Amino acid sequence: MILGLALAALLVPIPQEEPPPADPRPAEILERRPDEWARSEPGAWAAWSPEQPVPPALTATWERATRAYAAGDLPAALDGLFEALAAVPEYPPALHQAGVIYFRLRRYSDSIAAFERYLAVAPGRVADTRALAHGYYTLGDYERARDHYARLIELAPDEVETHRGYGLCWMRLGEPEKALAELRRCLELDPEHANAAAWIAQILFDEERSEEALEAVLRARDLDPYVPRPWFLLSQVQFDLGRDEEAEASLERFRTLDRLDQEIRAAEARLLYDPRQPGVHARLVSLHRQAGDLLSVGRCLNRWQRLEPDRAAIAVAQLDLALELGEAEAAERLAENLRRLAGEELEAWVRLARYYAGRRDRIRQAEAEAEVARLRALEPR
Amino acid sequence: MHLLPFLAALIPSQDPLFLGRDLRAGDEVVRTTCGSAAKDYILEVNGGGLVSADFDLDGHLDLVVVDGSTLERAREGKPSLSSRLLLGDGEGGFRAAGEAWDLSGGRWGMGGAAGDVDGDGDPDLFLTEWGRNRLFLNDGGRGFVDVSDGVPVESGEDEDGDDNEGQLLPTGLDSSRWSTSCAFLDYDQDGHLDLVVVNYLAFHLESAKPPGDGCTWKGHDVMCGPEGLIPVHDQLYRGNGDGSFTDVSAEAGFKPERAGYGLGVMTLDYDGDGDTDVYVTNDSTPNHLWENQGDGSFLEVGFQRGVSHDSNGKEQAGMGIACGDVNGDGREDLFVTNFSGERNAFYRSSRERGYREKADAARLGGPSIPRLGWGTGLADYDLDGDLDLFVVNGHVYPQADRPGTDTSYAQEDQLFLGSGDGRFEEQRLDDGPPAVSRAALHGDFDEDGDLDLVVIHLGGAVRYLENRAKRDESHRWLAVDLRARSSHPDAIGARVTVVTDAGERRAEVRSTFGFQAGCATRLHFGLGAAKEVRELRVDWPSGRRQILGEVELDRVLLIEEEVE
Repeated sequence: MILGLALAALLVPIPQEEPPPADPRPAEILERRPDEWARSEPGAWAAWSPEQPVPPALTATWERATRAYAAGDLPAALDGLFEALAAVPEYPPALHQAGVIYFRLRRYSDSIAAFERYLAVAPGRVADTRALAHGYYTLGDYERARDHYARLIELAPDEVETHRGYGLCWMRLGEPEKALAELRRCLELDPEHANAAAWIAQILFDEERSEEALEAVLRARDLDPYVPRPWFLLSQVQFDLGRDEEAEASLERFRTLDRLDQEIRAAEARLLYDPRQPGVHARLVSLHRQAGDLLSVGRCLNRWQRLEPDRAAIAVAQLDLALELGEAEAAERLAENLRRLAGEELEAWVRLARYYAGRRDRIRQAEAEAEVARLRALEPR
Repeated sequence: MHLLPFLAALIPSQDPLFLGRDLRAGDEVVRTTCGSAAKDYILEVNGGGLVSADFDLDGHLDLVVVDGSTLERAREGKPSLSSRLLLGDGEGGFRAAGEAWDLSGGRWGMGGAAGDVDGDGDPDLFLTEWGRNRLFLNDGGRGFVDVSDGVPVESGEDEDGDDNEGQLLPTGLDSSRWSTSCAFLDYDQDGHLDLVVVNYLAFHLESAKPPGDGCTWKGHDVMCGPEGLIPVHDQLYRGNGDGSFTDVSAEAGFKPERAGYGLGVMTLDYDGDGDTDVYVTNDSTPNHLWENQGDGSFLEVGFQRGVSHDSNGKEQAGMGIACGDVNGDGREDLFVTNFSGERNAFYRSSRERGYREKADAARLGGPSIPRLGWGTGLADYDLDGDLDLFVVNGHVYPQADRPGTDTSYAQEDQLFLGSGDGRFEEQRLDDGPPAVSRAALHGDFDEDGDLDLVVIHLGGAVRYLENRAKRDESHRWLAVDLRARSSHPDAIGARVTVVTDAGERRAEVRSTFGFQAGCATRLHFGLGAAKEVRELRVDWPSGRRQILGEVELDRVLLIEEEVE
């Protein structure tokens, strides 16, 4: 199932989204705050609904912000939103989108400010503001987060992430049974929700119900074996149960994954502020590969390729991944893509020659080997 | 007021329990220095330290304020700004001690601890430094003698049988690592004080990377470290009883596979086996719990006992440590202050020997997230019979005031009043504005029965926070001084249990207050509305148990170990 997803990610047509603009990112936008935003006239947005078209005065700005967001350039998108909010004060979609971007930038106070402004001008749109509850939660205001999740559940009773957030609030507020009920509801709605399973295990462990915690944490680990946390918890549960040898092995796996995870998080944080860093993308591919997480390898390759759509090295890595997954059809399409990009890249042609040899496609193998010979002849002796 | 509006709204606004004022030596305001305001290097971040004890033996608590230095002085090879002893008058006032108590020298002071190293009946002083640590022997309450270069030998013979009177006996403490916190203990129960020194990292001013050299936080250029710098192993010294020590870190197994960035230390008998264990908080690396094996060696069991990481398996910033039996199970719980964006950790003892991280259930987690905590203490500050907790806060990066950090540089300090059911209720600690706080400790400096606080503010005046707890029949107290006779007289590691008509309270004698602070060994119990102490039990380090019957309330009690 996971490998299938990896493949699906890999086969997403690559250049659909535009690469990030080549201008230097507008870093100064990160020095600005939501309290700069002008207020609209009272009641100005009382009749607003999401179906309404973008005001003509905002069309170009809005399009620029949307494009930047789609390309992962959050500072540029935010820059556009500040411009939009200056032109049309408290334009609700801009407030909402700013809340989302600030949340992704981990600027939770700013995200909360944006969403609260959004709800102030569009009080009927509570259902759009799950990230507001997440923001309260992340900053430790669990009562307010819990209350907001409760409002969201009333509006959409089957949203799994809302139940997860609601359950975690109860856990933080020292109500383990209520927390367990909500997290179990998550698993009813999505039986493969690894994170909910891990939190159930955590709560059981905290309540000193270690046998039950063991069962829950094994489920969490099996659902997502590349996340370090279930291994950490598994090790603690095993130590608690006196199963020290198994605990040591789990601890070792946790340490390996945690080391990689820390580096992955640091790299992802760098990309948040500037996505145009090919070296960071390459490093992320390598880190996920070390963890054995092929799904994430595929995702990172795709993201990297959006930045450098013509880079043969990425296509080589994609071909390797498809073969590793045993997906012959995908590999064939990726080999075609690599042929298109290989150009004067010796390593790309070497890889193609090997691939076609394996496929017993003698004609293309010969073509690739001829390119290899030609490029080698050009190399300085 | 730097706190963001969202954060400010979270702070309850009751009248604070503590009333703050600048600490004065006579008329002079006492200040400390730790580099420049810009904080370009990690060396400038920790602030100075505090040590309390009755150094001049007049019956009143005194205070050592450990001072740092400036980059300019350090580059020119000049000594640290002078640490100072302030002599307490028992009424909350202090005066500068005379020249006999001179503490000048050193390179860049950090923290310290007091203990009777040479067993002559007065508290000696050990100071940690960025550079060589320093040891001062107390000359009978008349002054300090700096013995960092060696302890003068009074009389005796050397290895060749020659009279060695007047020679200097090396202290064995001449490490030049960057030491932060330390604690005296008697881990091998031989009657001599031993010493744990916690070390941070290898920092060389000449080669240190300036801010902006690839070191960023939340998109802002900041000073570099600790990540990217080399952590340094802590040290365990066995005391020889004559003022000298022997580094036994390796032979005692007090050396983990990977060193941590050590910041705080606490001594406690976590497993209740009668010997003293050691807990060390490490910045951005797992915390260590050193289990005393009872044979002179230690085993690191932090992960196994659940006190090395947060409950997500993440290493935290690990700075201050408070210790106390919050859940009343006879085992002390641990509270650890951490970085902004992290929760402070409350490791509550569980049924077995382990701990469970329960900061949120105790209502201590959420309020800590926007703040960066340092000094902390667990005691009954309002004398209602339940343990309370204080935390002093302040960020490491001045850039915390820039947009989008979800925190601020200067921060409110916090008091969490215990409600008796394992939960706490947050209040402002004192009436002062937000500040950049660091080390802190408590003691009844004005001898009115409640515990006052002293707090280091980075680059500013040291603050004295006078406790204004009610004093009536619902707010009773008892303080206990112990004097051991069949182990080291300071009785570090002894446990006292006070049984009243309202319940039981326990505490353990120690010399460390967690982060860069050393405390007096006096134990303090808030007893609330208790009408009588039915029993007072002392479990001495020697293993003896001594039980006292009825004890008068609202007094300081001196108990000497009974030896057959």
